[in-house]
Amino acid sequence: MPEQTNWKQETCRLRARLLEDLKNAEEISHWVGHRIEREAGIWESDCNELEAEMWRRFAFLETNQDCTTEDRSLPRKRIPAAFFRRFHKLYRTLTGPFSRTAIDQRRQFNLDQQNRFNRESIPFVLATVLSLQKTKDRLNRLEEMLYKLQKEQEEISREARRTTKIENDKPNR
Amino acid sequence: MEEGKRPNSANVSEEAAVPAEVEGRFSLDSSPSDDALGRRLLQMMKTPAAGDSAATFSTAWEEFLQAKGRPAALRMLSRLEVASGFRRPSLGLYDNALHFIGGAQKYGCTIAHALQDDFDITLVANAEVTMDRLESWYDLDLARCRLKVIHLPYFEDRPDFNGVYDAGMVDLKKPNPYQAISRDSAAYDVFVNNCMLEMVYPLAAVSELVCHFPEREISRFFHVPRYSHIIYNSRYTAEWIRKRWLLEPHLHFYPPVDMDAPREPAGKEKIILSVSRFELSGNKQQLEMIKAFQRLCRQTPEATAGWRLVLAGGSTAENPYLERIRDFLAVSPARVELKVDLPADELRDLFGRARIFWHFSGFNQRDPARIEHFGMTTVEAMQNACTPVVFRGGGQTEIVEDGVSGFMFSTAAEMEKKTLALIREPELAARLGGAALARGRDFRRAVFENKVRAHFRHIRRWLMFQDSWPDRTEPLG
Repeated sequence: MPEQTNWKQETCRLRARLLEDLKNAEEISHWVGHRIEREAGIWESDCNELEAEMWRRFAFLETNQDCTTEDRSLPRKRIPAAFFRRFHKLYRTLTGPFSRTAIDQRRQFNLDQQNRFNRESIPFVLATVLSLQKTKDRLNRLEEMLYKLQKEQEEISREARRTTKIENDKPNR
Repeated sequence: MEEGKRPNSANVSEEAAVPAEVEGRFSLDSSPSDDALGRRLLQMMKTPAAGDSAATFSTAWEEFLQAKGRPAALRMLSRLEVASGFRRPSLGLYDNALHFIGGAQKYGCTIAHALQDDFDITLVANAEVTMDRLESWYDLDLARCRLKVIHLPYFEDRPDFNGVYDAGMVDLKKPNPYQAISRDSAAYDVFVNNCMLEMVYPLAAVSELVCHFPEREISRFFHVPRYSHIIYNSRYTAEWIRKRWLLEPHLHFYPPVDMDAPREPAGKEKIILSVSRFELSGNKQQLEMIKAFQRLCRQTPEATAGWRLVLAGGSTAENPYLERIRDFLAVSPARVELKVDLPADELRDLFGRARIFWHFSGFNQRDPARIEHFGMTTVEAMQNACTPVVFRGGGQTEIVEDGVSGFMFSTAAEMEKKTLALIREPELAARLGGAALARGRDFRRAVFENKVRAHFRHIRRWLMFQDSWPDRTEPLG
């Protein structure tokens, strides 16, 4: 079956070519033709980077903890800001039924604020958890090391006692 | 998908919060044209019409290569070769801990055992291990499988390397050390990643990820969505795959357990048995068991007279936790026996003699990874009519039917009460032991192998253009 043999050789040749390309490719992504890994992020951070991330996010969370806060009007000369707020409240109560759009806009504003807050909260919590995990791992390693050292110390003490005993038991010359 | 739902969203910038890999889930049913082209090329190869030649074939294939890229082209070639009968389909099964004895490795080797008549199987390891050793560890015939070792210098060159190729040690800012495995996966038609190593990017025509528990979160090298199917060992694991990886797993195969030593419940002795590895972390809680047993003995001396607690399990050479147990027993001796690294036949005998089986893994734990993902030793006990008293959590709840084939507990008081009931009422222990024996048979190797064969034979048919893509979301059978 010469024809059959040709097909086999042909598929073998093409396959070998592809595998050779893969072997020679510096990165798998080059062979695949697109990026297969993501950029390093919080998961890939070390302890210091996590700490920096936590403080950065925390600053934002603290500043924006009240998502309903609008830009407050500053007191003008002689007329306190409270007057403007009360006037605004009265105006909204009176025109409420006719100003649905304004309310929707305000609601949207609040939701956007909340979303921004949420987006910052998740990395903050994650960075905290990861940081704790890393600390816990380090503590476990230290505990294990301490346990080994204690064992070694016990061994050395036992050996020292044994040596002392041998020395003491030796007849005086 | 909303960003807030993704725990991994913090990995990337706010503009591109959703990892592309998670979005780009593997899907073959979206390209039926590939199948159509494949069938046409196959037809050309089997019964060439006038004008069909190697050149025509090459042209069609080159066009396909340009349009779909190298991975798809390699997949097409693999299928054509298998469908034409030029060679048997090949399967590579990778496990980074194959050189250690373990439940997950038994799972993988049993897959290999079940499929060796259908595929040319290569077991891929990272460290030297012999086929004889694998066969004796798991009591399997793997005569038709090959073994291949791919060393990973990233781990081996570390001064603290202890034989474990642990993905937790990978520096995620450096190149992926598992690239060698990814490259090797291209050589097989089917690649099975048996160690849930999410960092291996699969390049085979079909790739299956066996997940015993999603230990790590989504990271830079997270490639699980590129696998054709995720196989999971328990519903507990599936739940965590959804939570942690935000992916829907496909196939549910309970681990194979064959510890049948048909000894009648009448031949049982007054033994409470625990079989668990003495883990460095103390995760299996043998020390807690000793304390609980001592409490039982103190509180009910007449009922517990003659009873012993036997703690069996494997251990590493230097094990501070095991030392701590020994130290504890030296200070406060009890009727407790430690059986470390027991040979299989002695363990089998012990299962046959013990009346009650304790499993505390997960008790007082918050970390989901520390809760038993399945609990093979519980099944082993049940297959020996040894009544299980296990922690109500993780995979254990899928094995033991509380009050029918054993007992489950959530608190120490509940555990003591239920154990005492079994001690005081031998007929209750015998009844539950009998039910446990029947339940234990549901997890036998034959059941596992039948499911594995059904799934992989479907893949084989798909490779040969004889069937549609096995797009599973429901367990087989």
